[in-house]
Amino acid sequence: MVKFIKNKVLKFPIYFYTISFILLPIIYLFILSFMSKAETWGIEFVSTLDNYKNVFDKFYLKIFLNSLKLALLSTFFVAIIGYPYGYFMAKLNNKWKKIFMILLMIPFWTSGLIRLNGWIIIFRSNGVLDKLLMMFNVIEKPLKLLYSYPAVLVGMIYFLLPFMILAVYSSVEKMDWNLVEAARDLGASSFQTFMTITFKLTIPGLLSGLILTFVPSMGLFYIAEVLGGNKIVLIGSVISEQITKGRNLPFAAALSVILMIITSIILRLYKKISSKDELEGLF
Amino acid sequence: MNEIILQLKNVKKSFNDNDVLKGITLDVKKGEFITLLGSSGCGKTTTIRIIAGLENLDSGEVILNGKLINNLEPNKRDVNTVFQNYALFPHMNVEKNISYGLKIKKIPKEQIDEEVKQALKLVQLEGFEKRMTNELSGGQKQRVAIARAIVNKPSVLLLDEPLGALDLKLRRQMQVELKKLQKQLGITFIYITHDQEEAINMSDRIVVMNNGVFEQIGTPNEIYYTPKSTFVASFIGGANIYKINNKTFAIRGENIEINKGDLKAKVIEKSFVGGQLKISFLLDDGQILTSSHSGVDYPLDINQTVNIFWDKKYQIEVIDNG
Repeated sequence: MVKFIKNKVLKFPIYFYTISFILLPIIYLFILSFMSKAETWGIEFVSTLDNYKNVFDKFYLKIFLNSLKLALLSTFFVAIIGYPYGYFMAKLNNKWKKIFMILLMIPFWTSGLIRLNGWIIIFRSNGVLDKLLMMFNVIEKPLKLLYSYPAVLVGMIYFLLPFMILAVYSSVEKMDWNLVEAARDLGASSFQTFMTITFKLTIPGLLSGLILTFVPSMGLFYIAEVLGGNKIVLIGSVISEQITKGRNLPFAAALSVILMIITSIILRLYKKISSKDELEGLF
Repeated sequence: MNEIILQLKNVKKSFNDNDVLKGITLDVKKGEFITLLGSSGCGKTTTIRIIAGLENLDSGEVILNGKLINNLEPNKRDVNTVFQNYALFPHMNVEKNISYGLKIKKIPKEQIDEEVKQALKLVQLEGFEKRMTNELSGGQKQRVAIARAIVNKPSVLLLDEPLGALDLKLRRQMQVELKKLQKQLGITFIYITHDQEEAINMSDRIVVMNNGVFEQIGTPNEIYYTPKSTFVASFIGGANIYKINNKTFAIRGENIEINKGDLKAKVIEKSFVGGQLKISFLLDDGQILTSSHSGVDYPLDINQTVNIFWDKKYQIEVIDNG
């Protein structure tokens, strides 16, 4: 009886949560994507494939492609910056670790939109960045960075970097540094040791960092809206507009389903690459 | 056999004002099995870490094969270490762990395969090539760690309490095997332990360490029968320390005879420890001596006064540093 309680009752919350907040909404979304838009408001229960046909319109495909490109590019830069950051942070002494951790957390206490406005002040024509660069005679005219692709990319990296840093940090924290000494003792240079031991053993952290960065970056659109103006349109914006302005819930659902499928395909690829045994550093 | 392979000259090391090594000097002969014996915190691990290059020394010299290696990177030194906690690479199987050093040296694959096979045979782990390290028992991990080190055929093999985590029976078995292995390979072993029996069983010479200094260096016989200090005398075999006329002596319990001579002593305790009967005597001047005997009992009562005696040749004068 106790065993029954342990097995079923205590696990009830996870079943309940998973089913009601994850599984059912996905099913709802999936069904919705085959419904039709009512002439005026709401949906009509008439099944159709039109929504999906519309998704494969050139216009939307291009937006999907742009979103994917921006997501991959952001993820790439986040990994390049975040891995060394997390790595060296984990190697600090305890006091500095705590300080860095608090500094990483502080931005989260402020609304993301307010922080985005900070970037506007930096990027806008004759803004902080332009003035600084002109002061040091690096440039002569304002760069007009705001509402450009680089501005959006920087914004994405800025927002997603902490997730990568924390993921890498926690896996480097767990590193057994005796293994590094053992590798050095067996004849490996510092670089060889890093490639064959440290990096290999912290790949799980890097991978979860990549997932934590890539998945949200596929859907993030308000950064592009604020820092990119209407020049850079991402699939997230399109979905949001279909709901709010277009009132076409079924089409928004179809776009979301496709977005989920693309994201899961990329995740599968990650997993495949990372589980390859031949990726053994230098060997 | 008399060729010197490794020299330590007045090596000093401190961590944050804490002097861990206070100037140690040692000549290690080629093919020798030398043991650093001491309790934890005496500096023995620091000594081998300095030899391996995993720790920098403050002053002094480390000379390997006639070359000063003080500032040589650990990967450039012809020594390998068997770590106390094994430090096996968890993401590699047994074969890859053992071949790691050879692969780094870019040795041809066929030769690596052959050497790995040989090493596995030496440590009796044939057929374990594809096992992951977390599928091994403590004793098997130990063997892999040893194989991973010896496969590189270093000039000197450093072993940091390699049997520390094993149970007594396995320890005894591994002691015999390690000693055999060392003879077979002819590699110089520098072995760390805090277990005096292990040291006596395995070593050609023992270095007794205390508080960052080498108290005494000698063969197991020398260390046991002619200790130089009270520390060595009591650490090895628990000799009695007896003081008389401002001199300090070490006397082994087995050399104390009962009902002989004229030194009066009162029996205060009898106990059976480690296969021996130990009897403690209180002397008139307040010193306590313990004798050891075979058998489980001796016809003596507690508080009975008897005469005890020892031949003066078993009474070794030592430096009092206890």
